This record gives sequence, C-alpha cells and structure tokens, in this order.
Amino acid sequence: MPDDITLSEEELHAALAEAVVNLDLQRTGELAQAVLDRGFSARRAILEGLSAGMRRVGDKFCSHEFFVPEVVVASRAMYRGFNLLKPRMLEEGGGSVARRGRVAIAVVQGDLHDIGKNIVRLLLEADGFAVDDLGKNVPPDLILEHLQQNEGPSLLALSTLMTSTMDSMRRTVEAARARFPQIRIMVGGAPVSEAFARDLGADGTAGDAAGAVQLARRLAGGP
Amino acid sequence: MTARRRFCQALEGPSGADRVVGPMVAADHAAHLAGLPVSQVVRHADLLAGALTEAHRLYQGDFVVVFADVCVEAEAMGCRLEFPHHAPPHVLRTLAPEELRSTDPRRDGRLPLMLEVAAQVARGVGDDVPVFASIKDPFSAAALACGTEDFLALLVTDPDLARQALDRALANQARYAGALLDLGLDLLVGAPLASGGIVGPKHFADFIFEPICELMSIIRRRERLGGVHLCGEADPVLDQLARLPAHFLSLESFDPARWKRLAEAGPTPAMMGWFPTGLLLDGTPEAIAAEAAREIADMAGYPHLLATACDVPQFSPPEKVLAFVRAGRAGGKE
Repeated sequence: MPDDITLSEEELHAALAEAVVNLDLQRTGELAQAVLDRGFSARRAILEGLSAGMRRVGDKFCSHEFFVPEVVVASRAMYRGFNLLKPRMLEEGGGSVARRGRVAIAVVQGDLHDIGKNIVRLLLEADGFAVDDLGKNVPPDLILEHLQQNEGPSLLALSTLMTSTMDSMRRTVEAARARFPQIRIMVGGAPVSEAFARDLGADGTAGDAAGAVQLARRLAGGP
Repeated sequence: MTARRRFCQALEGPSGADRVVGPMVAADHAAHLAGLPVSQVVRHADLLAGALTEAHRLYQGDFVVVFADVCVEAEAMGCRLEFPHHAPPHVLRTLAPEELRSTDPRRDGRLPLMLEVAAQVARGVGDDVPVFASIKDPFSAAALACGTEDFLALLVTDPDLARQALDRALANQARYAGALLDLGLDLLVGAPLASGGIVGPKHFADFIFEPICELMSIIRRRERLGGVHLCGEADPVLDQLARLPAHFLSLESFDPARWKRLAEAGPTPAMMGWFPTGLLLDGTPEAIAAEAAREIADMAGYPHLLATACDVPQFSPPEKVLAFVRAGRAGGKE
C-alpha cells in the first residue's frame, strides 16, 4: 500500500478511482481521509476520484465484466468516500458536483421491488447525474411534491416490476405530465414495453440499466 | 395419452405426441380469477388449492405449478411479512445471515400450508397431470430473507458468511423438498434472484450452481421430475444451466440459437418457456398466436415445452391466457 502522505493530489485521485473499481471500501475511506488531511479539494477528489471510479464501474457493468454485486459494493465504497468528503465540499462551495443534470427516481405506489431502480440509480450517479432517490412504493402526490419543492429535477424515472402496479405507473405519469408539462419522463421494469411507455405518454423506456443511462443522457440533451 | 406421459415424452425430444402447453398460474392470478383478495388466498390452504385447481380447469394446461409467492421460505426462516390486500406479500423485516432459522416444513411459517395446498391440488387435478410444487433455490431463499442488495454485496465482501447462510438455506430447502416429494409431487426450483444478468457467471458458479444440483439429486433419487426456473436474463450463465442435472429449464430470456448449439454439444435439460407474459395483458389473439408459433419454430427438433416465461400476470384477462393455450395446441405435434 503506498504511503498516502507522499501522494500528489492527482495520484490521490487516481488511487481513489482505483479503490472504487477494486471494491475496496476501507481503502476508499482511507484515501478520502488523506484528501482531507492534506487539505486538497474535496470537490475535485469527488469528481476526479470517486466519480471517475464509478464511471469505470459502470463501463464494466455494461461490458458484463461486473454484475450487480460488484456495482453495489463499488457504490458503497464511493459513498464511504463521499460522506467523508461532503462536509468539506459544502464548505468549499460551488454547488452540485453533478455534470449531467438531476433525476428524480422512484418505484411507483404499490410496488416494493427496488433492485432495478437501485441499479439504475447507481449507474446514473456513476454517469454524472445527481439523483434524488424517492424510494419504493411512492404515491404520485409525494413525487409531485418533490418535483414542486425542489424545482430541480428535469427528469423523472419511474420503475415497476409487477404487472399489478402498471396502472399505478400510468396514474403517476399522467399526474406528473399534467402538473409539469416540460418534465421528461422515463419508465422501466420487467413488464414495461415500448408500446406501454408510448401509451402512457412517457418519453422513453429501456430494456436494461445500461440502456436507461443512455436514455437519460439523450433526454437530458447530452451526448 | 395422459398429460404426464406427453410431458415425459416431450422431455426426451420431438415425439409426434400433442404439444405440451402450460400457462404458469400463481396465487395472484388464481385469486383474481376467483374474485378473492390475494392476502386471503395465500394464507388459506383451501382457498389457494381451490383457486389453483379452478384455474387449471379453466385453462386446461398440461401441468400445474403450486406457487403462492416468493416469500414463503423467507417467512419460515424468520422474516416478518406484510400481506397487502390485492398483491403478493413482501418482507417487512429482513434478517442478518446469522439469524436465518433452521426450518421444519411441518411447523414453520406457511410451509405446512403449502404442503396441504400441494396435496389438495394434486388430488384435485388427478394423477394424470404433473403437479410441480415450487420451491426457491437456496440462493434466492437466503437473498430474499437477508435483503437482496445486502446479500449480493456479501458475495463480494464476506463470501464465507454468504456460504454459511446458503448452507442453512440449502438444508432447509432439502427438508422442504423432501416433504413435498413424500406427497408424490414433482418440483420446480424457482430462482428469482439468481438471474444471470444480476449475479453473472462467477457468482453463479460459486454460490448457486451446486446448491441447485443438490436439490436436483434429491429429486432424482426419488424418481420424480425436477425443473429449474430462472427469472430474467439467462445468457451470461447459459452454459452452466445446460449442465444442471434438471429434467427441464424454464427460462424467461435467452438466446435460442446459443441454446441449440449447447444442446448439440452434449446432453442438456429440455427447454420450457419462454412466452412473454406481457402479451397476456395487452396482446391481440393474432400477436399471441404469432409469438407462440415463432417460439415453436425456434425450437423445432429440440426438446421443448411451450410455457409462459414467468407466471401469468395477476390481471391477465382469461381470454388471453386461453388464446395462448389454443395457439400452443395449434402449433402442431411435438
């Protein structure tokens, strides 16, 4: 293990990214602490270290080198570092570290299956989106309230695994569309077909988590 | 020829017998057909057995699956469940891996109820129809009890602890399987969380393959039929699935061309599936017939049983399920 005291700021960023990709929670925490101890920028460490590492994790997931267990652990490593660095980042100012925009994501009311939503959330974060995770079994009113209060998310991502809650997804999309005509809405989950998404009035759906990230990029107007 | 005989022949390959067709009906759709709340049906043996038996009488499939919900084993191992009125139950409180309880199928949770349901359904549909009691593979049982994300993470962060939980779950499932086999049932080992797309080939090999093999050995020793149902994407683990000592695989999503190459290279289980259940919600009769015909053509010359890729959606209109069965029958002989 290298002596963190001797690492330059850039080397610390590279080591942070590597620790996330190596699924090493402890090392990620140690390196984040080293960033703080050395007085380096927390914001840069998050962007150039943790986020860079998660982007590589996302790439490995898309290429089937990593699967969900690795993505979950990488995400936990990233958050271990992020939670240490966040207070300093807020002191530094400069706003959000998200580069691509903000997404509100939820599993619709009546459905408690959230692994699909969580994978999409992790990959969106890895790709540079700021994600407001509203959880599972979320009533339409709570989603609307969040969109109203936060005035930030330009994208709403809704998930359901069960066919019995497809109507709940429809009600949520209709309510969000009526109140926020400009918001872009993506829907997903095992029973959601392209025809169903179109019929709902959603802006798109994807067959898997990697496709959801591509769709979110497109809807956010990015490359 | 009885449905059981045709089923067994279809496992061997094209036989010239009538095609085996099966809509897999679980408690939620059976409750919908019966006009009863799911929360009641999954907790009363007479209601569940009656609803599943009536669904079989309506659809006239060639086999029956006895399945309540994915939480049966997690509940028996100590999880507290919530039972929504019109939806399958879910786990309210997950357990630490060390907390998984050793279960007795005649005592714990709804296991005794499921034994009673299986016995009643078998009596209700008669000896000629294969009745598959559905049990979870040990990995899915442990993951549902411990919380999916936490258990998946454990495979990476503490594989020894994951294996301890799996050993407990396997011992439990072996006892549960034994009790169902004592009733003269066949078994379908359902693996809702062992999807190749979720765990990938390495974790499948390390944590999932052997426990399923052990359950299949128990079934084969008792000279009953054993199938494996895998939810989600199967392709990342398709070569491992081909080596499972199961009589058949029920897959939701896979590449048929690759499967045929595996079948040509050596003995494989028969293939059951993979009719997309979304068509049973919003498909036209023409679309349903076209999809069934496509799948039959895809597997022509190989052992294949036409079945839904997963259980029939809760609110599927019965006429669509009947259209699926008709389409299968119209697809000609095995």
